[in-house]
Amino acid sequence: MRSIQRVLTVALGLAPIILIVGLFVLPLLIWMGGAHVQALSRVSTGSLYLSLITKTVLLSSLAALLAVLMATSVAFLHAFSGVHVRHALNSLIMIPLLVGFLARNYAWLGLLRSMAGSGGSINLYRLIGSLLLYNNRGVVLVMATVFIPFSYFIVLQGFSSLRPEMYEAARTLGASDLRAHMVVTLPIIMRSVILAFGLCGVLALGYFVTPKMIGGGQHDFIGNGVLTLLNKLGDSAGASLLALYLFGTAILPMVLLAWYSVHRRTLLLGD
Amino acid sequence: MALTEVYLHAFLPRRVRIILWFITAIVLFLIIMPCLYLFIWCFWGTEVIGLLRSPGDPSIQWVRELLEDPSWQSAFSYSLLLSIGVSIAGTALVAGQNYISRFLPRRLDSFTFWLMIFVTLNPLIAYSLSMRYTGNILVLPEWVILAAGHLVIVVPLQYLIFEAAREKLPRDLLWAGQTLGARHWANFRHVFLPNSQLAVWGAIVVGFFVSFDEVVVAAFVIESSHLTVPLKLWRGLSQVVKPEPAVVAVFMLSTLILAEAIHYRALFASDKLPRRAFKDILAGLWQETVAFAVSSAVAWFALSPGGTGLLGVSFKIFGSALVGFLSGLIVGMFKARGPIYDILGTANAEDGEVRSVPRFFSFEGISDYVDKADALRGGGWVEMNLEDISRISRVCFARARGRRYIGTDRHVPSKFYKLYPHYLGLQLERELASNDVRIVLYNEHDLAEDSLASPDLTRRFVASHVGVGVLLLSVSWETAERIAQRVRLPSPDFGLFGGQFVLFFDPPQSEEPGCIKLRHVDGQLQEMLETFLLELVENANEVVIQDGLPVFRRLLPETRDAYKVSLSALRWRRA
Repeated sequence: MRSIQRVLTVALGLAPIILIVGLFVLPLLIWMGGAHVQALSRVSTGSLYLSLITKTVLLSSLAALLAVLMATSVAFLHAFSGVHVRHALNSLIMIPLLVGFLARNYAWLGLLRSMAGSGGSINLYRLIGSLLLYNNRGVVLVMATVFIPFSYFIVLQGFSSLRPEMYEAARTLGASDLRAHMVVTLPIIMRSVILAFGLCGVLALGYFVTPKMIGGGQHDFIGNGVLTLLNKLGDSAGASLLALYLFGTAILPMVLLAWYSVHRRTLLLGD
Repeated sequence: MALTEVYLHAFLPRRVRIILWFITAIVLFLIIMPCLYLFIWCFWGTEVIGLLRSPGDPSIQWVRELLEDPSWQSAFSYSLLLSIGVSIAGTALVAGQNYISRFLPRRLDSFTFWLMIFVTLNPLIAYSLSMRYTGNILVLPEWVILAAGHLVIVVPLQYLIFEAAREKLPRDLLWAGQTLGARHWANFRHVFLPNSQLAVWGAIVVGFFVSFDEVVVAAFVIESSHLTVPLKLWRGLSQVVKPEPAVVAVFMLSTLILAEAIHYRALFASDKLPRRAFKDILAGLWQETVAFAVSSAVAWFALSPGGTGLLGVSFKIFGSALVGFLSGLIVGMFKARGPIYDILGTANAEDGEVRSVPRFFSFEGISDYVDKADALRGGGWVEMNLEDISRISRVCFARARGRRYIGTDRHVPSKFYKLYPHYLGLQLERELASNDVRIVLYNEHDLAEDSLASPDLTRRFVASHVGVGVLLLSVSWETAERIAQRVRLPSPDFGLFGGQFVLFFDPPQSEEPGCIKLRHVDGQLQEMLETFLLELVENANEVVIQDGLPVFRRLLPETRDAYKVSLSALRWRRA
C-alpha cells in the first residue's frame, strides 16, 4: 500500500513532465520522423524557406525590439513612481490581454482601414493609415503592441532588484543622477530586457495571424507559407517540412532561453 | 507609500520623468486604442470593416445576430466546453504537482521549470502540425487532439502562475502538517488549497481565456465543420467583415467581469440588498435565458463531435446540459445588465422627485409591507398612510416612465400594480396639472398606415399617448401581436407602457354594442385590470363623457387621511 502511495506521489510530482513528454515530445518526434521520410523528394520547400526566413527573422526581431523598448520605458516609470501610478499602469497594461489576440488584430485592421480610407485632402490621419496598412511597418507595430504586456511584466521583475542605497552610494561618490542610471539601473535591468527580447523574438517567429491580416498577404512569415502549402495547395508534406525547418531555426534559441530562464528564475517570477 | 518607493521616486530626474510619461502615454494609447475600437465596433459597426454608423445610432444588432445564429451557438458551446475542461484539468494537475514538488528533490523542480519554458517558446505551427499528423496516425477524434493541444499550451502558463505564488506558502507549513501526522490529501486540502486560492483562481481564469482564444492549434487540427470561436473568426477574414470579432471580445470581457464579480462576491456584498430582489432578478433571468439555453443545447447536441456509442451519447447529453446552462447564464447576465446596474447603482432619492426616485431594490420599506402582506395570507388589513402609498407607487412605477426604459416592468411585484391608479393620478397631477384619467380608443382603421410601418414608428405612436391613462386598441389579433411585440408588452392582451395601460380587445359584436371582449387575460393580469378599473371608478369624484368616451376626474383624494390597505387585495378605504 505504501509503495503504491509512493508511486502515486512521485507520479503526481512528475505529472507535467509526463504530460509534456506524452503530448508534446512524442508527437513532435513522430512527426519529425514522418517529415524526414518525405524530405528527400522536396527541394522547392528549401528555397521557400530561404525566401521567407530572412523576412521572418528580421520583422520578428524588430517587433520584439520595439516591444521591449516601449515596455522598458513604461516599466522604468513604474519602478520610479508612487503606488497609485503603479497600480494604474498595471491595470492599463492588462487590458489588451482581456479582449483576445484575434480581436485585437481585427481592431487594428478596422482602425487602419478607416484611417486610410478617410476622405478629404491628405492629412496626418490618412497618411498614417496608408503608411501602416498592408505594410511591413504595420506588421511590426501591431506585433509589438501584442508583445508589450508580455515584455512589460518580464522587464518589471528586473526593476524589482533596484535598491535606493545604490543611488545614494552613487550620489555620495559624486555621480550625477543620469550617470547613476547608466551605471546602476541599466546593467541590472539588462538581463530581464535581454530575456524579454529573446522570448518575444522566438514567439514572433511562429506568428502568421498578424502578417496575414495587417500585411495583407504581401509580407508573409514562414507560418503563412505553411498555411498556404497546407490549405491552398494541399501539400501537407511540404507544409510539414517547412514547419520542421522553422522548428529547427527556433530550437537553439529556445534551449538557450529556457536555460537562461532557469538560472534567472526571479526575472520571470519576481522575488 | 513605502519608504523604498519614496527613495526610488526621488532619484529620477524631472526631465527624464517627463520624457518617460510622454513615451508611456504613446504606448498606452497604442495598446488601449484597439480595445476601445472593439467596443465601438460592436455597437456602431456595419458589415464592412472600417466603416461605422453615425454616432447617435448604436445598435445591438450584431450581438443579437451572433448569439442567435446556430453556427455561432455551436462554436461558442464548443469553445466554452473545451476551455472549461482544459482549464480545470490543467489547474488540478499543476496544483497537485506544485504541492508534491515541495517534497521532491529541487533538481526535478528546475528541470520541470526548464521544460515549461521550453514548451512555452515552441513555434505552435510546428507543434500543431505534429498533433495533426499524430492524430491521423492514431485515428484519434478531433476534439481529443484539440484538447490535448490546448492542455500543452495552458499547463506551462498555469505552472508559472503557481511558481510565482510559491513563496507565499513556504514548504515548512506543508512539512509541519506531515510531521503532525496529516496525510498528503488532508495536507493538500487543509493547508495547501486555502493558502493558494489566488493562484488556483488565477490559473483557472488564465487557462480558460488562453484556451478560448487559441487559434493556431485549432487552425491546423480542425478539418471538420465543428469550429471553435477563434477559428470561425479567422476563417471569416475577407473584405466584408461583420463586427463579430468585436462581439466576441465584448463577450470575453463580460465573462471576465462576471468571473471577477463572482470571485469578489460583488453582487452579494451589499447589506442593503434584500433577498427578494435576487429572486426577482433570477426569475427574470430564467425567463429570458431558457430559450437561448435550449437552442444552444440543441445546436450542440446536433453538431457536437461525440460518438454514437453509449459513452458518446452520454457525453453529448452531458455536454448539451452543461453548454445550455452556461450559455443561458452568460446570455442571461448580459440581458440582465440593466437590473444589475440598478442594483449596483447608488440611490439618490428626493421625495417628490419622480426621475430621481429611489431605485426599487434599495427601498427598504417595501420589504416590510410585502412581508406583512405575505403574513396576512389573503385576509385582514394593513394600515398605510397616504405618504407610504405615494412613495411605493412612485418606486414601483417610476421606472416605467424612465427615458431609456420602454415597456413593462416585470420586476415590480404584482401586488403593487394595484396601486397604479394612485400613481397615475400623481403623475397626471405633476405633469399635466390634471387629475383626469382619460380613455382613448383606436379602431384598426383609425390607426395610420405609417404608425405600423416600423417598430420605431409603432413605439412613437404608443408613446405619444403617454399621460392619457388608458389606450384601448380594437385591432385584429395579428395587429395586436405585432404592436405588443414592438412595444414589448408581456402579451398581446394587456400591458403597461410608459406608465399607462395599453389594452387590446376584439371589436364589439353587433348584438352587444356596448361590450368589449378581451381575448385572453391570465389570472394575474385579470386581477390587476379588474382592480384598476374598480379603483378608477371608486376613486373618481366625477365621471364625464367626452367625445363618447369616459373621463374620470379628480382621482386623488383631497385629504391626507390614513388608509387601511389590504395588501392581499390592495384596496384602500378611509380609516
